[in-house]
Amino acid sequence: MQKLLSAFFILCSVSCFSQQNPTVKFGKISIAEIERKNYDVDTSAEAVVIADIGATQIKGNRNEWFSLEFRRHKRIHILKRNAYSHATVEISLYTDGKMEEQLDDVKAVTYNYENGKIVETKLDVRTGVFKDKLDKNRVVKKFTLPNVKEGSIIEYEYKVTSDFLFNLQPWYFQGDIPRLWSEYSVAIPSFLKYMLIAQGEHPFYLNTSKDKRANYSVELKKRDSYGSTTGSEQINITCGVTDFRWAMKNVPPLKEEAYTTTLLNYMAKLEFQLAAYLEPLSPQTVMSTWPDLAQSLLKRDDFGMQMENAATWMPGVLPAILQNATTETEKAKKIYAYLRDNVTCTDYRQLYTESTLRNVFDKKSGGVAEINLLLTAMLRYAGIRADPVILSRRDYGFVYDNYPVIGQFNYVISRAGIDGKEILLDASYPNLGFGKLNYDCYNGTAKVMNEQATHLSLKADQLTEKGNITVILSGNEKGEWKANINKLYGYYESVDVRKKLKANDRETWMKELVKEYDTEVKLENLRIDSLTALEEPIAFNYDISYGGDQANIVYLNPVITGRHRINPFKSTDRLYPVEMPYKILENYSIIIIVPEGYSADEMPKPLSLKMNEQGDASFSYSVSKPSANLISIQCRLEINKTLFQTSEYEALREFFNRVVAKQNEQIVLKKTK
Amino acid sequence: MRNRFILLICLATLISLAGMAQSSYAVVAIPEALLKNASVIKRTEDIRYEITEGNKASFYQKVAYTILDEQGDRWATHAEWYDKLRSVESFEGSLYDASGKKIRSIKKGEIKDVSGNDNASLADDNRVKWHSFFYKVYPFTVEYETEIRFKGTMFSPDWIPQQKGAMSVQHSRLTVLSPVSNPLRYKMFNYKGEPVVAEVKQGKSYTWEVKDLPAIKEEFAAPSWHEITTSVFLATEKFVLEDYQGSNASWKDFGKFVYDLKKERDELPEEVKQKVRQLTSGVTEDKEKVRRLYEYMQQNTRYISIQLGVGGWQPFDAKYVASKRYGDCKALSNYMFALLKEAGIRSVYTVIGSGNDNDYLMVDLPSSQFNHAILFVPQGKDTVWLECTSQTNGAGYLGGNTGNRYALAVDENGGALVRTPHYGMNENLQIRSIKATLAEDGTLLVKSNTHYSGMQQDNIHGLINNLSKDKVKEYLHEELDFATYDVNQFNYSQDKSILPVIDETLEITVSNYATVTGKRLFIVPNIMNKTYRKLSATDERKYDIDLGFEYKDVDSVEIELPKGYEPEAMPQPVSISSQFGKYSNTVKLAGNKLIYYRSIEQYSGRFPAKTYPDLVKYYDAVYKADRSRVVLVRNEQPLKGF
Repeated sequence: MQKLLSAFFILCSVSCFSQQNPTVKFGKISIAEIERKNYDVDTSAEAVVIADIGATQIKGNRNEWFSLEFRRHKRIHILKRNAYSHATVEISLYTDGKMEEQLDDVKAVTYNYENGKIVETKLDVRTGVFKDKLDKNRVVKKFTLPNVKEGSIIEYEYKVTSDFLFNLQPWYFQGDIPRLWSEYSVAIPSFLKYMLIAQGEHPFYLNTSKDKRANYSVELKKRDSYGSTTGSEQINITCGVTDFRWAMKNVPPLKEEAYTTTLLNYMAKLEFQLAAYLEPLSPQTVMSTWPDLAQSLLKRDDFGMQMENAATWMPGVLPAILQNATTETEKAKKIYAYLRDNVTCTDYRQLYTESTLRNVFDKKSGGVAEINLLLTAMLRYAGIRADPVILSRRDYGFVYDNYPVIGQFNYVISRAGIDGKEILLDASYPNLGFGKLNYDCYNGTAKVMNEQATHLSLKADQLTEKGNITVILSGNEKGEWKANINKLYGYYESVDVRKKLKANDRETWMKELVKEYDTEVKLENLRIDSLTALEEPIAFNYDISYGGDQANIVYLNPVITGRHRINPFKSTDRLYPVEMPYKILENYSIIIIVPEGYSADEMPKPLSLKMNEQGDASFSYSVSKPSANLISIQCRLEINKTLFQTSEYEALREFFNRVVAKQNEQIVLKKTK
Repeated sequence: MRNRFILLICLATLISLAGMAQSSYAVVAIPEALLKNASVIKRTEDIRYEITEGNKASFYQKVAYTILDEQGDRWATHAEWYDKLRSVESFEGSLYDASGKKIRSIKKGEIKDVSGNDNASLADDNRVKWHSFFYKVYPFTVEYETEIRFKGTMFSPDWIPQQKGAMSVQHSRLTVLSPVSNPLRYKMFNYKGEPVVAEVKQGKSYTWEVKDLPAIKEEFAAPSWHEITTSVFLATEKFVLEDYQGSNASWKDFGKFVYDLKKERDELPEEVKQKVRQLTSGVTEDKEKVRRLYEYMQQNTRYISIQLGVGGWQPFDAKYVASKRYGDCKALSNYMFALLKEAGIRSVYTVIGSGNDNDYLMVDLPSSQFNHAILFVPQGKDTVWLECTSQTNGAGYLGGNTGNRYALAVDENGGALVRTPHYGMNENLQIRSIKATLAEDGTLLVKSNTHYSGMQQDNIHGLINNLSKDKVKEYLHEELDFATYDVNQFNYSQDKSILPVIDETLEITVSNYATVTGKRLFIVPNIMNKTYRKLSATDERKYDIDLGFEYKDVDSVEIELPKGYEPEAMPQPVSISSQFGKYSNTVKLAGNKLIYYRSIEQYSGRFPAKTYPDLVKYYDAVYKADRSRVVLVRNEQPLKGF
């Protein structure tokens, strides 16, 4: 434990301050405290956590084992109505169906300042705590504090006792409202080893550990030679204990912003993973290295063994799917397409199987782990080397490569060696092509579940969304305009378009297309390319026509479609880096045939724009006149990386401001006779 | 013994139906007309609602859907909720392929059992059993067969065989068995003829049946669903809810039942009584007393949904609210009632359907058609309405959720229908004046003053009364309709009254508001009020047009232009007068200033389907007029470029 924690110290490079902490005693509220109207840490806050203090202890229980005892004391100042939801408290409890974590010692009080006095209102715990069973592993207990108004301080404490040693409560120093003081302490006996994951930018105010000795008593059942219980005896273990204590002061709130994958990546938090049992318990490693983790997953009944178990029935179903495929590529494509087109994914966050692969195959539905383990198994039985790959989708946060901790993952795909190439496959999305992954799988570390636990790096920077629009526009002297539009979508936009095309008929889709234009246009001859070639981007080709009047002056925006109309970065401030799902490359080109009897009176000027010297975002607008009655304009927008630091935000916002402005510019045509 | 006999008959019919069903689910058997515009076809449905003596009821349903494509997927799922008064007795289902061959049946373990709490409630006792086949080899057919038992018949099921979302119906039948001692009442929409009524052993049986209803294409501003498809609503003359007996014989009777649930629950603790005296002492006018007590209630309570207690229909008593300082709509209305009573002011507890789509009440079918409770204080002509779940409304203002509809007022004499206030064009105002300055690079500095009232102030009311000032600023930085802008200053003042009013001042810098191309400036003088509605002219219109929200906007804009520009193109004045509304705008140049004026009056009402092309034209004209643009040219002309 010591060793692990020292690693953690280096990770966070935190120094210790002198041991001082605010005394927050339950029930002791000062008038000065309750009279405060706002707090410097965040003046926009609708509520502030004055103190959030938690502690976990490990205790011997009467069940021949140990329990975790978690106590929490939290005090919140409610400043605005919108924060009343913080007065409703939900406590999530784990259950395995037989045992359930237990909630006790609930105490909750609201304080109001009325006529110069602090008035207390207590929660009636007997009638005011409600229970709701969410699913087979989660029960939630809820209560709401009475008499809450703007200006109230609420305070509550409770204890959760858990017989699930793996479920040592994590601690979140940060949330949607600011915290003035957030503190967590954990006492770990020397016979248990936990690994710690710490994250966040906010510095620790306290970070200490102290060794001491303590006694643990566990009640063992006495049994006779037939195994029946005949009584009990108490055994005592005296051993070293380390008291860890962490605290943060004035922690700002997390705020939702566009283009962040998840706030979980920025939240200051501590999480624990049970690593091993040590003497005097029978020593056993629960977790150690990536290869070990891979081995243990592969041996699990609800992961690797599912694939082994498919041996009995797989040979019976494969021939019908493979038909007469001969090469590895053909076989893999057949299997992939079969699963993708026939099996519905019911859960996109799944790591372990809930039913057998046979059942998934028969029912034609399953979670993502089930589908892609089934895919892996089918590839294997077709003679193709394939392994499951685990990863964390972007909204679940980054994976820390230093910690072989399974809780960091929530998704399973497959990797196959096909005709000499390593190909990643995900059969859970109906519109995804062979060898393609959804962009939110590109979240850094992924691990192949093979002997070496091969490391894969999937980064948003590896993806570029390429869009291309080509237009030929011509006008005649009657003021009638005609254009042919050829639009090639980016790959992920194509996936989206295919989905929408399935949900709507072509007529509805055409009505939507028409709305993209400034004027009323008539749309004809729509042709869609690569609608069913799921590996390829989709392309639209169609004609539009619209009538104008025979004005002496014609104003014409040459970017008639696919224009950037609003700045995607509206807010003036930015707290977290901008994370784009992929790089972007957009090309737009138009050739305008100027109607007879008109000539260009004014044209937009060429522009070349770079967000910074490296050109992390760049835009060019070029204008040429190949002949007397032709105008040619080209726009090219490139976003060359996916992660922009907050220091780059202003430049990025200004960049888009100028792109929007430039694409608004007009060509002015004047009648010459 | 009797019950068992009935069950046997049910089973017998069931078996014979199942025997028939096997082959009849073939997709080829669907009439061509039902495939048009459809994603799902209800192949057959048999519902048997049996009301027994002692006010119990059972609901048996067997239904089969053929799913044609992804859009129909949600019908391949079946869910039944249950609680203390409603139990799921059986739940079965089967899946069939396109030829009608059975693929498999569901097993017990596949039915999920989850909490029915929608998370909006702190506590309720709802749970849900549900199942889905998650199948995607289209087309396929699912068949579900369930039986539900009710304790009490307060909530009778509806029969609306056709649901929204591209559904056609091949066949559906509802049979209701009703004992002589508890007659059935019903109301029908779009049903040809009358139900088949027969004398049976249990009393009377009623049968409704429909065949071959083609799918309905959803239309913009269509009338309520029950007005366009077959719908039958039921009520039993008598019902019980836990220990309470009720009657649907008249609104008076139904109101009596609601009143019985709430009566004698209005006693206040002594300290609250004192507070009431303190707040009202020296005040002579009742209206002022109401205002003070309402504000006291708002400041000292909050809304928490707890759907427990006599089927969720009995309010927690006033003492409960006084000690917890929270409650749901019923508890808070009852508490407010108690406060007013203590001050000697009579108020009336009122149940109502809440929500924009919930403004229709079947006045000739007294029954439970409500989901919300409010209060009113009769004051001669000036009734004061109180929405007790709002902590911010002014006394007397209801808003769009409960305004302009029938509600049931209840007191010791029973119930009586009343109408809530209508917020019309002259109440829902947005009057704005803008003074703006345009710089030569296209940047526009905007100073706007806006006066909002009635329903046009609802959104901003919510913002400024619930959020801190910095959060309002964050909101403004995200939500205004400009490409890139900064909000330099903002301020709000409000007058909370029967017709609430908010005045807003904003100062905004908009980058590149005007487009600069060489010597020209392109500017849209309508800065802050563009409509976005565009309808498709090609759509055939089948149903009447139902426009609900009335309002009036006036915008006066003055834009100071950079020096040295003169107009090249100025939009002509627009003036449109139609049955749907009235719109006009004008723009002119006065010296160095562009003067723009826009006004729109949006009417409400019901318009025949054949007027739809006119509505399209009207919206189009407004859309276009809102975007009309002024082109200015710098007067000295050093022509560059081409």
